[in-house]
Amino acid sequence: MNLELFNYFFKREIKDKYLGNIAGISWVFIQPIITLTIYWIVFDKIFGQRIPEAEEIGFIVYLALGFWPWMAFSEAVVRSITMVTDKKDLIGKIDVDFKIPVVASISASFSLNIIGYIVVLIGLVLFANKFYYLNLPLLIIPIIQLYVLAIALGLFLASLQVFIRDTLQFMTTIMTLWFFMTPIIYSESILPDGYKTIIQFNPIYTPITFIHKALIMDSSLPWYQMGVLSFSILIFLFFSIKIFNKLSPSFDEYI
Amino acid sequence: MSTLIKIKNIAKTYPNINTAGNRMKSLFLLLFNKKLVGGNSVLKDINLKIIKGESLAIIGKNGAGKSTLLKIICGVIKSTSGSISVTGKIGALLELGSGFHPEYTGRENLKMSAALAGLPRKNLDSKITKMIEFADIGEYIDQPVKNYSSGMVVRLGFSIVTVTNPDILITDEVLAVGDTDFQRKCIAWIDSYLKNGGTLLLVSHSIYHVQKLCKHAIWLENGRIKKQGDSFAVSQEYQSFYEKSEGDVVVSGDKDITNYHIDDLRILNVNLDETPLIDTYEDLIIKVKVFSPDGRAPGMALGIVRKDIPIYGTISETHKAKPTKISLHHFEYTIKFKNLKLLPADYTVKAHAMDPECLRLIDDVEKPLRVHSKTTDMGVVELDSEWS
Repeated sequence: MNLELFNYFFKREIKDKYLGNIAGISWVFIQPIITLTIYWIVFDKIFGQRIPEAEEIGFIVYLALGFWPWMAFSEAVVRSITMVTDKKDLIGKIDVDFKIPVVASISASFSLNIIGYIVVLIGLVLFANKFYYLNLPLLIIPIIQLYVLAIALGLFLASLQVFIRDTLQFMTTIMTLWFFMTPIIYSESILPDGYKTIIQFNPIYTPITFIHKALIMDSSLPWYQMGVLSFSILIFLFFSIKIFNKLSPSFDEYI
Repeated sequence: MSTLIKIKNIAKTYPNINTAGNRMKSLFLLLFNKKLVGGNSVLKDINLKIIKGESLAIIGKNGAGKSTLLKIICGVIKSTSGSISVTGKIGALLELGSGFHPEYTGRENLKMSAALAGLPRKNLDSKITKMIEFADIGEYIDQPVKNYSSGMVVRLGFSIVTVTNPDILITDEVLAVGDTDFQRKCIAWIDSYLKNGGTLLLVSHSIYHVQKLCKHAIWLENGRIKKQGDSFAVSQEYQSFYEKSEGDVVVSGDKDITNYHIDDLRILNVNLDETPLIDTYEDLIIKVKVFSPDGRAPGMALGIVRKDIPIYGTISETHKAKPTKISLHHFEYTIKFKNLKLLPADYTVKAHAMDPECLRLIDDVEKPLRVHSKTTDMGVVELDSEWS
């Protein structure tokens, strides 16, 4: 039954978000490409940003590799925050576990963005020089880490939003900050030393760096950090689910 | 005799959440398992059992907590404390179109409801077709629910229940909506459902349906159970409780007790016994005690009304009536209707105190009067006639 419900909410998310628009599903590809192009023009052509660790590769390749996973994560999280409060028409009328629409929405966002990412990766394999395409299967690990982290964060925020309505506004600001704390549009080598240590506390730093190192850099992969991160994400998920379960019986009283 | 639903000590309190600060506080209290204080108690000390094959009715005034209790039973909202155990599948018809997404078509909503009801994928399409057939709303099935009339929404909601065939069917007055044609279809379905061992949990204001369909009943008043037991006993006590309070002397407005006013209105029969029941052709005697602040005899207006239609109205001045002084500040009027010509019905006797000059009506006191008789004549009043 839960699987059926999940399918139902999953399809609804995709329909609601993409199929209603004129551009439809092609928006999944078009929007990141447009943003990517803008960033490239601004940071590569105008500011002349360079990636010391990957000189031959070109800035845009480096940017694309980190950009799509970030989009998948941030979009999924922000969208999930209002997943419960949006379902006002169901709360108090239907007996459903509200974790399901939250997870379904995150899954829908992720799926669509990752499809776009795969298209980008294929393009990079074909056209980029010095691209370690044999390491591509390894990307499953950071992608799954980002997915599970998004679920843990989404569940927590969605339940919080019911009580504290500023959560959404707060998080959209946090997301902007978070973006700049992740080496997507810059490489960490250009950061001053103090900053270098700070950004390592960003949980997304590790998976994104892993992707860069696996595909376009000649350096060893940070397996230890990946392991620690995976463990931490699971602990966060555990507490997130507990908090959601503790708050959800009272949703109808605060909605 | 299996128990389908068992409820122990259920309570529901809605917290104070008017300020952001209150919400934050409640959030932390909830997270750390502390009890919340205050708020609005909507249900308290609810204990009940529903047994398979023995339908239960919940009756009570509006706002007594009936719908809230139903929602808790359906699992749609959670109680603040207490426990509930449910064995078997619940099918609910609660509130018009509950759970329907207005932007989606009827067909899409049926699919969602089927998913929420846990219908297996196998044969799902044929089940949806059956629902559409029962609902019988033509091409509207593929239009957004927001365009539906309330009757169509009920049809859609009911059709789901006919296919999911629950162990216990919960409904609250929803069958009051919907055209007579569909109501007949529903009643027929409910009838066969009950004959086949189904159990009904009904919230209704219709004492007739409560007594006809349910074995047990509970009477909810202000969120607490006032009485529970056999549906006839409970519903009759409920009815007479509310009828009795209507029979008391009704005084409108704020009485100014320093001014002329009516202290008592009594309806008496020929033996001077107080009674609300008089036979046609009997003598009807009305005694009205009036207060006078200055010792002067106040005037009085008397009216007899049937369902707001005035039958007869008169004032003391017309009859040059002088009341009897019974104490320093009190007078009493006695009005005798000999050989009452009023025909059987429920009337209201109204009396109004007036100033001694009979210029203003000051207050308003009423009492019900029921007229009885063995005559087959109909109407309000008997007219003298000679037949040949």
